[in-house]
Amino acid sequence: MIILIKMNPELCIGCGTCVENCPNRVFQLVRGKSQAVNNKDCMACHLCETVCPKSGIKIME
Amino acid sequence: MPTVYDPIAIGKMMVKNRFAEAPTVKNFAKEDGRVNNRTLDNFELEADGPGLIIVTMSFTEDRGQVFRRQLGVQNDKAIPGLSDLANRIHKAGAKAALQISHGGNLCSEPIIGALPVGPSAKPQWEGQKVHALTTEETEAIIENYGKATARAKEAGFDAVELHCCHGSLALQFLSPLQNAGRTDKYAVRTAFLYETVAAMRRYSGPDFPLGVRLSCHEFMEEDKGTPGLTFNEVLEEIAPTLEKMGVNWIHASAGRIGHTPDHSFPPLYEPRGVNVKFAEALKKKIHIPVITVGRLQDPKLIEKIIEDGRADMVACCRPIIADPHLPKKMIEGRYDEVRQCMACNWCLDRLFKQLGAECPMNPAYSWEKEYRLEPALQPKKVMVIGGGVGGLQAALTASQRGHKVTLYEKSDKLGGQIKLASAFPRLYTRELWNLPKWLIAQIEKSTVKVVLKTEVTPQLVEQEKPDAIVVATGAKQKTASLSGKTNAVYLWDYLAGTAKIGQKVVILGGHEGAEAAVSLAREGKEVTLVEEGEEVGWPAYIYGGGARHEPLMRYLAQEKVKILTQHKVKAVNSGEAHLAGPWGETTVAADTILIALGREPEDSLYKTLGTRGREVYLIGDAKEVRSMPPASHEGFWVGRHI
Repeated sequence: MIILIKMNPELCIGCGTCVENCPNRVFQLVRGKSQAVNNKDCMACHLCETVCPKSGIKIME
Repeated sequence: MPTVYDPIAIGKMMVKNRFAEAPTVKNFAKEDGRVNNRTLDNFELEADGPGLIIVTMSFTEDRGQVFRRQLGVQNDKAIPGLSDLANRIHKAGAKAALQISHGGNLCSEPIIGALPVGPSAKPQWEGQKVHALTTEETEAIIENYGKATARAKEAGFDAVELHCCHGSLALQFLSPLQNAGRTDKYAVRTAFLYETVAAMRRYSGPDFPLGVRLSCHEFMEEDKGTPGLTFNEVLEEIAPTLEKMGVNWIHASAGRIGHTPDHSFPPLYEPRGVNVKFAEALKKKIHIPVITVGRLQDPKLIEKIIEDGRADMVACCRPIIADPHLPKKMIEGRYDEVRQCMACNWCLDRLFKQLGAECPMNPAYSWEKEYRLEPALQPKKVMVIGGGVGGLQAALTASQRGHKVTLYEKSDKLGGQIKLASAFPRLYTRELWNLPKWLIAQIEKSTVKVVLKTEVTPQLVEQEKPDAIVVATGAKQKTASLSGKTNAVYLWDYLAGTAKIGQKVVILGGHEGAEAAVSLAREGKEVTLVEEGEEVGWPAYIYGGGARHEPLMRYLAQEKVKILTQHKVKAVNSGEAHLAGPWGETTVAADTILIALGREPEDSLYKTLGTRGREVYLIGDAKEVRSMPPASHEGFWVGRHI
């Protein structure tokens, strides 16, 4: 299964909610914006999609 | 760093990998707590894979029994059966630990035939009478924990774990909210725990591995507004002391049954691995192995927790109910075959109804022998109508037995109501999709022919002439006719993303509307939840004991959703909803009415088909609106019986 993490930096407000909540610690704030630094650890649980206040993340399987 | 596939030494016990089956109350031992075949077969299946099986919470004496068919270690007559159990686990390749427990005031009079006991007379729940233990009675209970440990050792178990979590007696003594008013040595809240561990050690010898399963944090501030046992005490005092006393592992759970069960058995709303943080913090403080547990069903997550050093072992309870071979499949590299637990907590609800555990993802759970699929005597042409969970399960099972199955779905995608139920924009219900996703993947590998975008009519049935028909057409939403003019949408439109939602939303229906209320509020809407009855938050798919209602109510409060129970809508006009309540009329600003009044069976096809002269089965919500587990189980039953 291929997992794609699509992130929209224009929507990202750097709140860090995805960073804190991701069970596998995929995200980190880099220069104020979230990035999927550990993207290979993504298990497509889709939690980030739900917690992002700006709906800025989309996980595709 | 080690991986989950590497061995670990727990005291002098060598465990072949870092997988543990967490103690799972199955509630189908014999009435006197004895081991029976159902227990033996179930554990034998599950013991193929994990390095360690921690056998379910077993009561140390009759007055400590919580569940009707709980496993017991209460007297020497239990030893032969437990020995059979340890034997089965060993033959399957795992080490066996027995978890021992006294339920204290979690017990109920009808089951134990006496008043439940506790560190004080404070009840677990309103109206319960509890006997406050005297010093002597407490000492006797502690001795019995020791004797239970000796029995487990005699039965051939490799280790024993103390149940000090989720509200049992040992945790009750630790909790300032339960252990209050004592004047003896047990007024010191840790005295009971430490004396119990000492007794267990005395009765088993210096080398016998002993573990403690703790609720690291009771979270009682969420229930009573005052903290109970806090993690700070566990981290700074209790865990280090247990290590010094020679305890060989700490199993880090959380919460308390009946009050904060969503921390003990985190439901699908919670992130996966929500309690790993406790294990991680403990590992910085103590050097004995720490086992983590809670919402750990994904192979990548399980692997990463061990590789990152956040815990030494990963324990799974519900994920193993959902897939008894989760560890085995991971070891064998069959990651995609793992059937991932949804944390719907149907299993838990069954237990709190005092019935045997069941699982929608694993309909054969604990009945693997009885429900083994037999090839069909005569392969039939089977039409399954409806691609939701019921239809998917029926189609898959029937095809596995050799029937020629065609599955019809009127929309362009399989999955039924769960497509919507798992799609709340700002409430995490995504895990519900795990079951349809798995079924769809199996169907793709099977001989089932899938026909999408086709609504089955009686004419089509006539044309196809099937030998058997399964009607799994699901449910439809109850409609509302509102007098007045406003933007009215239905819950399913919101979930499908096709509804135009304004800023001020009035939701009609406090049960099916509750989750939507949270999601909408988190999207920044002003939400009012209107319900004719006295309570909200109890749709058919949120079960009484499922630990989902409590967090849902907490989210509603956190998001400041206005809840109006015992209110009816009288009329709506653009911008306003006029409601009538027990104290008269209210007007609420509303630019959107979201109708979530519940569902009724979509059985129009079934009614026109007729059952005379045909082999027709009606399953799932089309028969009676309920939830996923009945649909899955009924689908499985039909698939087995056609």
